[in-house]
Amino acid sequence: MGKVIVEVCCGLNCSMKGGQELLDIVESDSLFRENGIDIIPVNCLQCCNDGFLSPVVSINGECHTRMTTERLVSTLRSFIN
Amino acid sequence: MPDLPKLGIFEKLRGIFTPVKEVRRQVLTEVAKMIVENKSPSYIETIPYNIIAKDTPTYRESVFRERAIVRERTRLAFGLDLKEFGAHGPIIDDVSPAMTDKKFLEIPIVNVIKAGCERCETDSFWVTNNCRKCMAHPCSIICPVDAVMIGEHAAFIDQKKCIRCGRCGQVCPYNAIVHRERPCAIACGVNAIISDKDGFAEIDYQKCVSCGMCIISCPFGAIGEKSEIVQIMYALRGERPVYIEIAPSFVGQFGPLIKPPMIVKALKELGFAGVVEVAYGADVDILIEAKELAKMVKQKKENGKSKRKFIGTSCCPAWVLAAIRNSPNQATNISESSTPMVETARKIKKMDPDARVVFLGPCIAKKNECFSPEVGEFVDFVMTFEELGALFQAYGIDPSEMEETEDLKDASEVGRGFAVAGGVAEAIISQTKEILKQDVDISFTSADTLAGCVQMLKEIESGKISPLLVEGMACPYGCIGGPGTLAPLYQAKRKVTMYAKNAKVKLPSHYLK
Repeated sequence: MGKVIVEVCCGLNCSMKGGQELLDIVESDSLFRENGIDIIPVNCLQCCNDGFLSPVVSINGECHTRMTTERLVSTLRSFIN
Repeated sequence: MPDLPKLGIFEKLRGIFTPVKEVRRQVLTEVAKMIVENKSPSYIETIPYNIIAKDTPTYRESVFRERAIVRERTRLAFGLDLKEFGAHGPIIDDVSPAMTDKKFLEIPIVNVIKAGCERCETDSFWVTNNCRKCMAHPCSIICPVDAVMIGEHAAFIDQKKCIRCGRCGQVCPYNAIVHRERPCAIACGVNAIISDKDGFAEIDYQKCVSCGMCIISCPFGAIGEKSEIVQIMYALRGERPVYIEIAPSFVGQFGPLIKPPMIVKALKELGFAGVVEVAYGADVDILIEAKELAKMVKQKKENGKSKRKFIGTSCCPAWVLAAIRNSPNQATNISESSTPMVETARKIKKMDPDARVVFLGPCIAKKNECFSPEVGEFVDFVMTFEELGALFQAYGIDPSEMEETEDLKDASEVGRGFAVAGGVAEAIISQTKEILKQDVDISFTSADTLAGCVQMLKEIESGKISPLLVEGMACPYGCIGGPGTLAPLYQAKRKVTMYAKNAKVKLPSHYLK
């Protein structure tokens, strides 16, 4: 199974709208690391439209907006199965 | 049953981005934007419609209630008192006085927004539908006051007879009996949450120490604190230079990629004339307390006991107030030195007598501390990291885009360690050992959460423990667990510790007299 690169935007708008919590929750779950999913905090991805679409997570280069914990965790789990 | 550890009240909502946090931050950002864009006072009526923009409700039963709650939050953001039920009148008729660069904040700082309060059951036992109306019914057998009845489909508890002993819940094989308690009251370590005649939560201000733990524990976001961001923004436009002193817990608050020099630059972009570490003030206090502690250690060695029973830290205002009110005899041992916030502000005003000082920290109790004249003389305003985030958003300043031009070098490693529970005690003890020039064992205790602090004082009073140094922290895990923080705990602790190791010196005595 190929590596999955998950980049969590740490720009100001995303940080204030749940980005930090998202990063913490998926980073601290060893399940993802053990299954080839890399969680990386990155600087502003410039796709939040002035915070309107925060928080943003990029999965394998594709920007996902208004990301929620539920969606991110279930998306990452589907990569494992 | 999965083997998950049971979470205490402070751990349940922590590290999760909830709609409560979202609305709270939206209000702050909208208010900050209103001031940045120089809107007229009447614009305040537009804010609830900006935040609750849909026609169907998202969080409550109606958009009208949602907007009413946002209106009250907006008032708190301006530093105004709540209007609440029965106060008939437009929200905007007294906003203008808050749009000033003068000190405007008045007590009470922490307020229950009754429009948002769901009147949760307080301290009562209820039978849930897990009940199987079993043949054994130990619940009704064990009840000492015959309050448990067996109905047609399940057991039920007569609330008038129930004495809240909890035995029924203890013996139920299906764990069908639950204890209901309001989260705000569980979080309050000084029993300051009571109910009004209608069952809404109410704060007993004789007991409340403004720690703010109830604010971040209410799952409905029905408690809020007043803010000074409006006055701070006007002050930044004023003629007098405004300096900002930043608490040691600031490191890592805005994200793992934001290094301290970037925060310094971002603050200067906002218009602050200078940035100073509060850890400098911590160093001043460490020296004062260490000298006293060294004296006590010597007295104990020579006479078997010290003149002073113990020395208590004074940097956490919520802990100090809670100690004075709950254990007045023990509280006399708390250090009389000014807090790090005051010492740093004093230094700033000595360097620039025209300066105004803003304290930036994780703390709501610091807002209350400023009402003491000897504190308010030096510290003009208090802002939390969350409020600063709103300012950054309103001004369009992103710390992650700032260059790392200058780092702060104001403090020692142990001074920077004040942000984590146990860090203050460790600092004072390290410095004391340096003064004594010996690695002697010094007994100390430290407690976090107000309930823990009050318990610790009880044990000292009863003689169960006899520490020479006592550290009290109102927030879980210390200041990094404060109500105004943005970063998850693990991140904050890691970054604070790393930054401490980068300090110019290890101990205050290495650069202070």
